[in-house]
Amino acid sequence: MLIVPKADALTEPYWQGVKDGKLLLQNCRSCGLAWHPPTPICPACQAKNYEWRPASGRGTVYSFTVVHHAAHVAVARKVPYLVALVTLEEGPRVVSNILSCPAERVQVGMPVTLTFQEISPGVVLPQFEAAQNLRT
Amino acid sequence: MYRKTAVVGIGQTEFSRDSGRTEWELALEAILAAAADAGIEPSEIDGIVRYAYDNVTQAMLARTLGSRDIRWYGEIPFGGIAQCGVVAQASAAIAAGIATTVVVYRSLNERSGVRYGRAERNIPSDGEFVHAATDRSPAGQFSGPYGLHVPGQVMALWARRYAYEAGITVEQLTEALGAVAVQQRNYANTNPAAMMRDRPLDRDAYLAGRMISAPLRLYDYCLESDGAAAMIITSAERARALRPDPVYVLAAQQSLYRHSEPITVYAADLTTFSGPGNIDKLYADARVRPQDISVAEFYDATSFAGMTCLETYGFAGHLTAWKHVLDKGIGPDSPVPVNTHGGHLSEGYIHGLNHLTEAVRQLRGIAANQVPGAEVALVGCHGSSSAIFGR
Ligand SMILES: [Zn+2]
Repeated sequence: MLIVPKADALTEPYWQGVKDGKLLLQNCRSCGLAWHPPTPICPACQAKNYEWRPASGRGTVYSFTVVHHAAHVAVARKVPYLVALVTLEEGPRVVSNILSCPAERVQVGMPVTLTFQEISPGVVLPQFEAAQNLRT
Repeated sequence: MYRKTAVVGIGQTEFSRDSGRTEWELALEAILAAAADAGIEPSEIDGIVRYAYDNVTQAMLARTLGSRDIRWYGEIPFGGIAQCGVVAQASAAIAAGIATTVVVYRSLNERSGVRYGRAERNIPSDGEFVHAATDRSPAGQFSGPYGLHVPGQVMALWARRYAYEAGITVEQLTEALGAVAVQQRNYANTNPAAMMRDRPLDRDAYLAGRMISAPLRLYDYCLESDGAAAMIITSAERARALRPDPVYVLAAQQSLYRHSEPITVYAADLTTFSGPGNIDKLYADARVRPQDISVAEFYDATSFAGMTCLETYGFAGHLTAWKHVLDKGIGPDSPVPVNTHGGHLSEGYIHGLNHLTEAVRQLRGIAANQVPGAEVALVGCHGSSSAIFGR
């Protein structure tokens, strides 16, 4: 069993972007805000004229937890696993796992960079990994 | 709203792991007990406010309480933050003259039925590929595929960030959370209604609890419970005619702003749980200050959520509640005793309604762990909904 994202009309561009190797954020053409998760209008100035722009892919770990007790049958054999919150350079926050880095080395505040993970043929998630200069 | 309405009746069922009864039966037992406690006929109830999470609807109650006419009914979404919202909406309806006698309640078979600590209720588990939909956090399309599934995991994320910003180690945070869990268990051990009344917990046992979602371990989490609780709220004038010890609503409010909905991971600052000015207004409406609060009952899905309410409600500075609970504690002799019934951690998980009934018992002077001379009681779900009651 695998938990996969289900896009909707509002989030379809986000997941299409992921397929194209980009992490897209809504950017307001009026006030410049970048935000996530998607909304129909700019949450700051209520403008409707936004565009989807790729994030730089640079971020920092805001927090993380190591899940020891599976809360869904789909991850019963995956525990323990790490879930992080990553604050993007552009401001918004996303949920991610931290790839290419053992859980013991993950720290709040550490820089991370965007990567992509194919969790099943054709199913891709944006993910983050330790920034190059921190990897050992 | 100040002193315009009052609680005149409280009722509750046994809290257990398996009630063996329907949620409808549980709700009726609690509501009929609350009506009897208030000295009214159930048919006099003309207003109902429910948690949207509750499976017992207003129509199910209208059919079974002998209601002549329910003039006003409402419901509040988003889970536990309905806690004091039901008081605010019941009181608003009464103060506006729409209804006279409003019941608020929560009934759930949360242990024997649908368990909120499981994510299958949000992500179906019947296939090779199961879909995380909507943007909800946790368990939505942007969190479910990564393994972020339930509120208890989100609170672990909050907790680690808190330790980072407070400049303390995870071990120091754990000591503080343990102090909360142990004290709440102490309260439960002398509360005959508590599920954990016969189960002591000390620091060593707390630390030996298995890790659930690090840095939170077993005893940082609320119980899973079957049970129901209810309150009857009416006008202050009618309350005085019904009983000598009505518990007045001094203030009650709800709060919602960008990314404040539970259980968020998107707010810019996940160590602050209340909008600017929100709590100042609560105290101003209630005409009291934090130092006037005799006892506080805080919504504690986790020890962390309860502890940080000390900051939200002005008993400790930002990022210092950990020190407050270690130095001063939340026990009977502390500056503000917290969760005197044992809270969700040790009395039972009735989704915050049992915190309201405990506040009423404290102000009537009949609580199992009575705070001597309690005059003002605060109930709050980290600023998302709050109520202050007085004698
Ligand atoms: Zn804008």
